[in-house]
Amino acid sequence: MAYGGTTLFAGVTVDIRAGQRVIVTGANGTGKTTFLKILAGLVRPASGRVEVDLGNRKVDDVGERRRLVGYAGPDVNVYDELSAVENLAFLARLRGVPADAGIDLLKKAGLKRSKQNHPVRTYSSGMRQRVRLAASLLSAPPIVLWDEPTAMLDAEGRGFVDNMLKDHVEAGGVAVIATNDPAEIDRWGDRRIHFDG
Amino acid sequence: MTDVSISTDEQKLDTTAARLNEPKTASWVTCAWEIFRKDIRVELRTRYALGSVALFSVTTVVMMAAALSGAPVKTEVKAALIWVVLLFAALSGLARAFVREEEAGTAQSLRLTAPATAVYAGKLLFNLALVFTVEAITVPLFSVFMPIPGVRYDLFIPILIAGGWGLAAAATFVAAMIAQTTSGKSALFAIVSFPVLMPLLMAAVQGTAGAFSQVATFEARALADIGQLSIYGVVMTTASLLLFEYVWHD
Repeated sequence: MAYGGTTLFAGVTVDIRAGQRVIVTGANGTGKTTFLKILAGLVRPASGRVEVDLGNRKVDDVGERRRLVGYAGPDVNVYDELSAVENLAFLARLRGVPADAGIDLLKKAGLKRSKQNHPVRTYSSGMRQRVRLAASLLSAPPIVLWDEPTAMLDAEGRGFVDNMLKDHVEAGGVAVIATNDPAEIDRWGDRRIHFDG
Repeated sequence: MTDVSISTDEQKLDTTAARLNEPKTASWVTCAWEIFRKDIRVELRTRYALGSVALFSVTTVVMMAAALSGAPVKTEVKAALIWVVLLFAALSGLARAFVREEEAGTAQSLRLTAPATAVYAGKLLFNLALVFTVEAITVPLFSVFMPIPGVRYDLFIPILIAGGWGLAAAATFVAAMIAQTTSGKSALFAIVSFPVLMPLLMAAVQGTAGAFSQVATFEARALADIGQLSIYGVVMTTASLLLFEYVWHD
């Protein structure tokens, strides 16, 4: 992967199986987020390809892959002017799932019911992160990509993330998570990819 | 080389396999409509675009009326003035359709959840609503402060509709292009929009002058201008839909 003539990383070949949690580690600027965005189809690699094998067919079209992915990262935001419920209802309708599908996910993310109908602009950074994580799980995508999912969360929030991740992986989903937290690497890391930079 | 293969083909998928493997997708029309509805809802809560276009329309028309008070103003000049007000009032709000999404970081969510052309269509619907609101504010105000006797509304209203459509279609596409630049978005929007909108503005001003003129030959020419404006709208919308994928994702 190259930016402005500078190669960010190269020669990355990964095969991720169903039900696996893959941790992506590395210093700032080594390409963890870019790697996740390549998987999500938000960034096009300078060369190489991403292929998803769904068992009955293979997906290499980037447009279709975007619909197989749930992504949560610091630069993927929800609408400040809408409430958490409205944000998730909007994204759910775009994903073709019932508008109330997000209610249960907000509960799983630990967003207090009393706050769910307030505009997101009134939320703390941790509460916004819970909404992002819930949004990434709408439509139960087979692949979840989380960039520093617990960076703004308290201990209780981290517990909710653990549970959401456990549910997703137990259902056979794939999770690729960028983090440098040693405890999370130990707890979640079925496999680990390290970017040296 | 970046090779990544992700497989979800394992026995453990079991009963949840169908749920995980094939996420449903909304139809193109649903996506476009939902994006339009969301933009209307956000706009009604913030009034970013409505506030700026309404303020611009009112102040400009009132200032022009005050400056030209008592002076004889030809109908051709009034036709040009009304489109100058409509153009700049609309441009002050139209660029926000995509700039706000990019600056707030919500564009990435849209990229992951909706087809590119549905995003364009949703934003175009919102910008059309905005342009028609600008027209609904500006034209009556203009008529009050700078009266035009004998206006052929059967010509003028189609000109406003076709002109507004072309304006919204072109501005929506240009807004998507400039939204991804890092700085100077407003200046860039005006610079890029100007040559794209020139043919539309020339036909709109000429057609409006015909609708104001009460001269049969000019009125007949206005009919041709309505045709030109409609063709501009069709061409601009079609071209934008065909090219939008590259602007939005690359």
